[in-house]
Amino acid sequence: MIATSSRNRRRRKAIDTLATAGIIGAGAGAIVPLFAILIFLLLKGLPALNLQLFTQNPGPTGVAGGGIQNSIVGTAVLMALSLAIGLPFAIATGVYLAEYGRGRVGFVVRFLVDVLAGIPSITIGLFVYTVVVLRMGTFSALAGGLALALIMVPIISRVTEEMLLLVPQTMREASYALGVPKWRTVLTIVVPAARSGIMTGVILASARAAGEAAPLLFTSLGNNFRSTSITSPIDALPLRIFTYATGPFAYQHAQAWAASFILVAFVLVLSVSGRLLLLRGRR
Amino acid sequence: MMAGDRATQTPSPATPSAPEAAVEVERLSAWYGATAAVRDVSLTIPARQITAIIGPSGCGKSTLLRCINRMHEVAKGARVEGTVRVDGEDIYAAGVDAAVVRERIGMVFQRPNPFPTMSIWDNVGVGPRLLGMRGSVLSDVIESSLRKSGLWDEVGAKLRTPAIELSGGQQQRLCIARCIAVKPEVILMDEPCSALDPIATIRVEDLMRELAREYMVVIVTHNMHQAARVSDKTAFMLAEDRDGGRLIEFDATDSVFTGPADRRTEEYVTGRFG
Repeated sequence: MIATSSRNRRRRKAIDTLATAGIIGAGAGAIVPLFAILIFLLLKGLPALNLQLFTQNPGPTGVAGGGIQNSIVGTAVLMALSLAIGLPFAIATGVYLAEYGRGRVGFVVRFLVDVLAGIPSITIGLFVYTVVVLRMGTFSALAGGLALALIMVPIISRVTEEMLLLVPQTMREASYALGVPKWRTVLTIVVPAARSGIMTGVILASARAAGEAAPLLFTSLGNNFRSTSITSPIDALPLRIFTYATGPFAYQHAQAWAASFILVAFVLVLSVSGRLLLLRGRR
Repeated sequence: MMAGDRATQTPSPATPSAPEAAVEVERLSAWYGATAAVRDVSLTIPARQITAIIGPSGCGKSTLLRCINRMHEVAKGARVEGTVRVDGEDIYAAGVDAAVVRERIGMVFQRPNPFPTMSIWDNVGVGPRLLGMRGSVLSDVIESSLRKSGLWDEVGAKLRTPAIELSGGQQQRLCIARCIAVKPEVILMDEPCSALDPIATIRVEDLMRELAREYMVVIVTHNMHQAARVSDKTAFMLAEDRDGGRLIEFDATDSVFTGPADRRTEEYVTGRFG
């Protein structure tokens, strides 16, 4: 009997409408800050954007003009360094966890990787300061790259592990059945099959590291001049933003907004390409 | 060659170059963790014939098959006792590399499992390439493997396309081509047609008979008619007491299906259970 209790029906419909409205509201509420930030960045950052920013180093403090070329180049160098240092470790750890680390050792390694992922980035900076900067006697791009690598490694290794575990067991068996030893199966069959997923993890981890200022404060320090030497201090966009946003001059504030805009655009491009890669790999 | 008369035939005429591999299984038991899957199985599988292993679900027939090329130990907690000898060599002896065993004893699986990221060409070539073949030697092996598996006429023109674009039956024959490309002596097939349609099944069965001229073929099947159609010898397994599957009867396919020695075999092949 369909029309029995129309009161009950009305009540259920009202609750349904209310719940739907609540969920949509919460979803919208979560998106608002994101769009607020993006709009703010566009409004404040876009006007300050000009070619000079990309082609010049900062001028003397207090004198308007100059650019942030040193920071852009610095971030690029730091990214390359941290990937060069971290990627081999991260992928190897992920392969170990997925393919070999099934026992107690694997459990411990997995736990430690998770702990590393949870360590505040400022602490990582402090660690690299004591271990590298004090020994080398100088702040350096190398120290900054190492600190960023430590941030990237746990993310990449866990993504690698998960992506390798998604590769069906039947594919490994197909390879074993051809007489291919396990290590070769992993290298030539399993890892290539998970390639796009791993790449996504690498890109997302890079995006995360690119936005870090804290671990660079006392590792790469910052530099008012463009540098590509790995043994000298080097600038980075987040560091420049921090310095300029807390500085006294209006032109610094404007350039901090512009730098933020560039950084967010860079991170956004990385993230979106990472997700696209993942989508393409799933198909 | 008619489909039905294979069972009554004597072994196919030997090609002189083919190795005379026989597989001797002796007192073999296998476990998954604490669960016994195969118990105390002994049998000698003859060269250049098709041997079928039949039995109801859970009788350990797939596990027995996987013990013959040491694929059983790939599973977590898997354990094996007893010996398997190929040409008189114990494949479970200390110092024997499982990878080398699997190179000599290939396997085709229940679901076609071509490497999805690879082209048809690379799928067949991956085994020989890892064994060190290059250049024209490699292309010759790939072509002859595809010809033997009856795929060459269908895919010869599109070798560079991804293997997953083939139909299920073609994929399974591609897996067979991939298997014979490493020149094994024995081919194990674990219910190779259970994921295929009837037409594709017939093609794979025809292929098995072709392969039996050169290789020893061991096939696990839950399809009794298939065993009767293609095999020379049949092994019947049964797990009666939750203590792993035992070998009940092993004889010429003809006698297993028309005059089984054991009452349980008769009940199974006449469809009274299973």
